[in-house]
Amino acid sequence: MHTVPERNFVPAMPSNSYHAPSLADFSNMLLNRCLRTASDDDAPTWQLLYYGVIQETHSNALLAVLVRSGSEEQFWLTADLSTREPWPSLANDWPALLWPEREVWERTGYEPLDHPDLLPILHPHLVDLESRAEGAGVFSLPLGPVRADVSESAFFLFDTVGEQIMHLQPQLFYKHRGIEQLAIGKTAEDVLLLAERISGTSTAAHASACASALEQALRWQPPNHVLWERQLWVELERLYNHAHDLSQLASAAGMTVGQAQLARVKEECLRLAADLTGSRYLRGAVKLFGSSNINWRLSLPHLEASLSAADDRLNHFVRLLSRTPTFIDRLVGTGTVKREWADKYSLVGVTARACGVKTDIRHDFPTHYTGTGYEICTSSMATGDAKSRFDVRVDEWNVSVRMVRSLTRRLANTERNDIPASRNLPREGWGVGFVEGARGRVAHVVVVADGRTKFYGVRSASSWIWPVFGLATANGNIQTDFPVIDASFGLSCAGMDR
Amino acid sequence: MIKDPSIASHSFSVSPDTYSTVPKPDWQQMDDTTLRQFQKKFGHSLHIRHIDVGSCNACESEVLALSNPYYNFHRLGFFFASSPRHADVLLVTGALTKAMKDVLMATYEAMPRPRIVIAAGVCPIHGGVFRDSEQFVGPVESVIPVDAHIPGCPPTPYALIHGLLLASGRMEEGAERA
Repeated sequence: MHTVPERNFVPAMPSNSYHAPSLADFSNMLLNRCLRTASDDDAPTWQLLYYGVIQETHSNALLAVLVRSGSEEQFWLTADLSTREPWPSLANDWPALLWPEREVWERTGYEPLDHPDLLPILHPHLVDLESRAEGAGVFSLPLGPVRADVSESAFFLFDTVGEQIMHLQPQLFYKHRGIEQLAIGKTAEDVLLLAERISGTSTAAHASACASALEQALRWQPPNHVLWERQLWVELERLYNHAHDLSQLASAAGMTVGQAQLARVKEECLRLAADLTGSRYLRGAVKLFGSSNINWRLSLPHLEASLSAADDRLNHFVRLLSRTPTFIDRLVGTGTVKREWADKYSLVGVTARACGVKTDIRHDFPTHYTGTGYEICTSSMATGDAKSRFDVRVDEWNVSVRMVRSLTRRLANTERNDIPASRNLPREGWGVGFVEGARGRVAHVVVVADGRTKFYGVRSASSWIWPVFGLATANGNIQTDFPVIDASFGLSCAGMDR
Repeated sequence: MIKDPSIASHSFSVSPDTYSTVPKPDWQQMDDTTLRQFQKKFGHSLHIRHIDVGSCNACESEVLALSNPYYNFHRLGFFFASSPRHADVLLVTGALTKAMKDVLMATYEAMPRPRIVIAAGVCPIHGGVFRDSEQFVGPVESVIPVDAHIPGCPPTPYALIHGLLLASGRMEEGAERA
């Protein structure tokens, strides 16, 4: 195997890259590194950040980008798709690739052999889903794309017998804006602008993943205070997202007071973000090659006061909700994700941690997070149901509040001397950036050539979780459970659809 | 019995084959008169159907914030409707994608008359950063008539309330109450 032995901290090329001579080699290598062994609470050493298709000069190639937990080691695995050899599907062994393989098939026309569910994914309006359940009394219920009061566009086909949900097929990509294609040929600054608009409620997570990918590609090592500030934005974003998800969960269970009060907490977090950055959604907060010019010493008292008020309110109402049997009853055993699925689908984020899987970028790559009060939050019951996801979110809120406090104090006590990026930045390189956003791991992969983006790949947390959503919904639930399940997953369609 | 035919007679979807004997309404003329009639009939309570035609979800977050205790837009007589058939206003967010074009038109068709359309955010007005994408169809105005535009990325809840009051012809009253 060919590897690049010497590794600089910021490499010109991926630390390890390997061009597999055949698709079979590609598959073997990928499976050997990535498959999680059962009965092990830790995530596998190698995480798959990106799986998709990259345009080479003359042909299409499969690209898998992996990163080894606890190290800086990255691995870029490619294989030509242009050869006439068959491409066996890996989705039977590793269902995490179910949707990515469909996407590669649709983009290139190469068919993964023996794929269990080969349907076009990028053009939902051209595909009529068919009911999967058969038998007496089976009724198909289409829902969407325009659904609920205010929600993102997605389509769901329920197969039901009476109230019981037998099968659910989610259909996404109604909001496919072609962001990855749009980025090609753009400058780093323009790509960052696009990255902020992949998923509006994960603006900071996508922006900082994109920024670190671009900076790695252009070989600029961000100083600590830049990393701390970006982490601060990501944690602030997690706060309002978790408050939002908890509020939606209260709403789904009919807890009007809880919903209103937690929505109030979210609003307060958004206003705090606006006070600090001028944007409620942290647009423009993450800067390329540097940090903001906020005077943290001056902002500190206001931030601490607003945060304490929001924290007190959230914990008060969460306590009340936890003591409300009609609320808890709706959550326990609802939308259960089996531990087995969490492993097979390489789940990430809150959904995985609610099953007891210890996966979190902040836990797997403990670099600049040390001493900020971070600890991984996995559900103590690890049942993988809506209640576990509720518990994990509440715990993470508290951890994030600690981290925001500690990071702001650090920033206030640090003399910042931004090293400006040299004007003679290299004009080409490869980079990977990954961040633990509110929903889970957000990964950006970028190739820069001649000062412009040549390839851009995005995988948000939701894109790994959506395939399990249907399974969890059909796992012994009835139709009235759907709003609770939907709220407890808190997935983003925009992040999936790109 | 409704005397003004433009108000209620076209809440069905007109398909050229099915209703070939029915005289076609003059859509353009009706849409011009709609806004004035609308403000007269529905000035005091609006039911809003929101549709996301390709947004990044920040606009949805802001639209949803309208119902939180800080903005509490119910006090102004605004409500979300679960179905376009119960809605007076179609609130469009997002950059119109190819997959959502027919859905948007079907939703618009399903609404009873009179109805108005509000485009909220840069994306439905112009396309914003997605304007050059090959998945982008065009501004919402190129597909259905738009009565009010609320710029912003995303528009803040105050901007949304301003737009809604403007559309319902109650701007002055809203200013007094706020």
